[in-house]
Amino acid sequence: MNRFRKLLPWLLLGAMTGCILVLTFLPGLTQYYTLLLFGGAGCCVAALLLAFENHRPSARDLMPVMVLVATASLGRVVFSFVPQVQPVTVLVLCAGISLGPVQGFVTGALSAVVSNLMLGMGPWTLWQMLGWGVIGLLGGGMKRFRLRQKWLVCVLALLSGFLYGWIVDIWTVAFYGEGVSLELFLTVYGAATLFNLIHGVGNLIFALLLYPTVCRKLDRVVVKYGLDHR
Amino acid sequence: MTFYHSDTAETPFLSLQNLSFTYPGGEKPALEQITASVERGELVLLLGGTGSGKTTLLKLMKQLIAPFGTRTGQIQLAGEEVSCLPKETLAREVGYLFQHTQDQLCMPTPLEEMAFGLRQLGSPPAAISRRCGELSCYFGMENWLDTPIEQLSGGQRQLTALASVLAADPSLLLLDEPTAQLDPVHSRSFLEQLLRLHRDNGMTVLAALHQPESIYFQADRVLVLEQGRLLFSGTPEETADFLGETNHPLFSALPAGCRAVRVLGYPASRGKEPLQEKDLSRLTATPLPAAPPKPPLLTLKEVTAAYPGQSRPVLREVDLQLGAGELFLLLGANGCGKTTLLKTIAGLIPLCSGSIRLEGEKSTLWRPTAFAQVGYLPQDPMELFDADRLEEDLLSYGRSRGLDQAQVEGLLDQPLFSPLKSVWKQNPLDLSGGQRQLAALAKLMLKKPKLLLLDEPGKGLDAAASARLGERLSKLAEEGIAILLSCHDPDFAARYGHRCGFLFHGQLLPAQPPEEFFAGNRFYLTSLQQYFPAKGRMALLPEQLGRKEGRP
Amino acid sequence: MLKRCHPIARLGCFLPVLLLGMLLCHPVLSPAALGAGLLCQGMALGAKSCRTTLGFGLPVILLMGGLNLFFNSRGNTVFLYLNDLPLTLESLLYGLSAGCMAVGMAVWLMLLANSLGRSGLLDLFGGLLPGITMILTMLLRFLPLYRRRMKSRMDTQRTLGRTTQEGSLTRRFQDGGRLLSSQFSASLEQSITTADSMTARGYGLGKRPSRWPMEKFRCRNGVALAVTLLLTAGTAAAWLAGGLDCRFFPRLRVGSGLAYWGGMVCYLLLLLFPAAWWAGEKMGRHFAVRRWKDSWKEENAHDLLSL
Repeated sequence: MNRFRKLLPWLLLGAMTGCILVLTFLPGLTQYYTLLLFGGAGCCVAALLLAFENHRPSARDLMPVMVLVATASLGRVVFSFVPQVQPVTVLVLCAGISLGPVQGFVTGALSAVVSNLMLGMGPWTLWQMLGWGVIGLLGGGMKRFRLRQKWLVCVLALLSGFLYGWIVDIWTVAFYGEGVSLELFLTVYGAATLFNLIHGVGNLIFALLLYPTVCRKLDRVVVKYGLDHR
Repeated sequence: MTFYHSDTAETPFLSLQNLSFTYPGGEKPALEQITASVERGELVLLLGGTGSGKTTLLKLMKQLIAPFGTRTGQIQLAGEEVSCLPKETLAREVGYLFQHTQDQLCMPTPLEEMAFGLRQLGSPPAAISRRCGELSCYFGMENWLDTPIEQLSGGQRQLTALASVLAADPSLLLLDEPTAQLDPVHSRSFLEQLLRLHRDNGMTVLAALHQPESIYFQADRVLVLEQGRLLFSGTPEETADFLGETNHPLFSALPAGCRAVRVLGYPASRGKEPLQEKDLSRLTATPLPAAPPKPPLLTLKEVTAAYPGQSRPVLREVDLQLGAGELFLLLGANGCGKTTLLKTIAGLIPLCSGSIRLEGEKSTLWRPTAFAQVGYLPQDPMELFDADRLEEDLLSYGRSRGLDQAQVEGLLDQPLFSPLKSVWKQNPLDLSGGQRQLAALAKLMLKKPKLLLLDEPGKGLDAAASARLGERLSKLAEEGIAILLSCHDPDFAARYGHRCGFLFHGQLLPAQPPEEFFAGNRFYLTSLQQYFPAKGRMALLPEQLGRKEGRP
Repeated sequence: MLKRCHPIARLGCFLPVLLLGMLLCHPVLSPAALGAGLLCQGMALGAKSCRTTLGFGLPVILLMGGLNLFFNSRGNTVFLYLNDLPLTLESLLYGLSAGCMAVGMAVWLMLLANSLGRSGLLDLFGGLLPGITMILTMLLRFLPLYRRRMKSRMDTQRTLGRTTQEGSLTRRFQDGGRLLSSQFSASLEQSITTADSMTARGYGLGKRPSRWPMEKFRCRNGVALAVTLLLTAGTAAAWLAGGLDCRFFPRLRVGSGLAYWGGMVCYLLLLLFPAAWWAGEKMGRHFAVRRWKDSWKEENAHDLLSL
């Protein structure tokens, strides 16, 4: 693998940081906020997807991610008796906890892609990818620090309702068309608090329901087929 | 390249020397001291029951998917040890076909699947197109190249898998029970394609088959594995003689003719050719025991059913009467509606018209209480399980039915279910095919059902496991449970069924006991009936045959 | 749409509109983009899919207009007072334009995906992200299968008395969770066979998979690419020069002069290019068939007359 490919994710993350800094500290350029926001998000998503590829995943490494993404979309079918409820967030969290941060991100991003393929794609897709991806990263963080307590997972599930909502609402703010400012962010976030709370509570229920079994099964496969050996 | 130009005839193409393999954490070795060799261009059959190590052996030969574990001994391909060969050579030269038709295909359409292997190996696009064109012509796949794999039949899927493995032009083809999940029609056509391929191409083929009936005598060599050891290696005739003389359990996997000629005292290899008139006259046949009449339990009257959303009904005015303790076999082609009938009786598909009565009570749809007396075993028994351990699963289900732990474990004490004791603490996904069936039956028995509906329970089971299944079902029938099962195996139907019914064109033709059913058929016959020439159809099963005393 | 062209030419038809459209929120250009997109969609996918898109899209546009109308009062031209809340024309226009932009971009994105096709889309990323494109391809294969297996499992569990259709909400959630996790573990086990089958055929050997099927870059693709690049460059130049800027508040102000008109023309031509190309191909085919029929009649006219 050539060195450029190895460095590319870091370069993209640098570009993303650049975009954020420009938005925060250079008021003169904020008229290009749409470009900067989309550019930043795009760089972040691309960086982590490339990092996944840089691990050189074998066929067996791809499978847990694929089955998780597929299960996330099946979850909509199973729980169709309650509208608007999906276990995607919890599954992405489990992916991060069992498989690692990068795999968790990819699971989240691809879940967004698949669900948008079914329901309709648009500029919001990138932000959903980022939102769910970050939740996967969060789960991966738990793995890195070797934390597995159920209560911690439940708390994270509740908070990820908000985290996901905040990330996707960056798109709403951009769409609103008035540039970016702290007051605007706070207004939009404030208005969305109720939705995010409902989402968070839903995640909490799914975490209680699904987290132990799904993580156990993932761990079983990781151990049985040696997916942790690099 | 030693694969193409093997001028030296001394080195065999594939040779195993003292091969032993143990899984990590296993007490017994999975393979012990296997020494065998295969010449270029041979068709070799691998016979063995479950747990004999066939899959392990085949996977070890295909080094890329070899399982983790400790291996001693040598596997040499064209003179070179497989673990030293470059991975690309192994991918190209050795083709491996799995038995799971659905899971081994990864691309959405057959065309992409065929191109997959060559694309991964970096072949030029023109070569890929050419090879795909060749193969689709050879196998007649032109019409369904772009159909999503979901919509293909099992036989077409297995053919796609074969084509995609052949695209890389391997010199050794390994097949791990490729016809296990196929119905007899597709299984026969697949084996014919395989034979044709072997004849036309001169490919070395090593196939593990649990029903080698149609191609048994066409093979060049047979290797018999038992408990990880090579029991016997020889030509099909020699192997048949050996298995026949030692009365080995695997003998029942051989063509029925072999068993028939053994009755007359001939060596089993004589079963290759049909018997002559003078030999036929020395055979007697004891009739199959007739089942006594049973009090009626399930009555279907003019049942018409269609899948929700479809206008054409699958079942049209089906009439059926099933008695308590009766073992009824549903026979018929693939897709004729056997699963639909079972699901309709289970209450999963709405009736368009007609009625289903269980012990006088009318069965209503979509109400869990209606299913209290009916146990439904789907084609995939794993659909019944949801816990990580068999113990946990059965105990939690027992609790939901109001049974305590002692009662559930009491089930294990029954002689029927005692083999489950050794796998009680295992994950249901780790069980073998026969064990899964048994565990599923145990879970259904926790409901104390009066009627059992089984959808192709014999699928994928080898002869021994199939026999065990038949005996278990007969025992359950003796306890008074009515059993309705769908089946593709005429031998199984003749051996264990009390009545056989043929489902055709949406209608259930009048059911008869096996003796009358098969005696009246000209084309749908048991394997022994197919062995005898037209007028000698005297027996359905080899165990009915006896020898006349005295000289002819 | 335009499936006979080389992927790069197809990309060139649709991608610039997508990128430029996201930057231009204009009361004329955004609805024009939406209109042109719907035209292409009608040509390629039929009128029914157009209707479906409008069914989703019109409410979004109206919603955006309404939201801006009621929550955004920075315009100058007030046309109605609603309980002290000024409803301004500018905010309505802005909302509608933004809505058109959003829906229009969604339509063009769909057109892009449709024209590239599944293999085109994945080939584009296949070199850079092989694992992820493999996952997406496998998802296309396995999602229908998993859905079918899930339904079968739901049926079987129903016979055991476990269903998500009836019972208390807690029971249904529990049964649903159990269903999902058991389907998950079965699929995970089965996916290992898939992985083995892929590895056995050479996946993961480190080689770059070959491009297949291979398309030839023909002359007309070059022409298409050149035209679209030219138009894109024109629009981009106009945008950079500020010609296509549009201020909605406090008053509607659009640019003027060469940059403005030049940019508008370039962009509108770019929007109509795919539709024109497609129509051109269709007409070309129609006339070719007519010409063949006429020439056949001419050749055989004397034979027919002499019979």
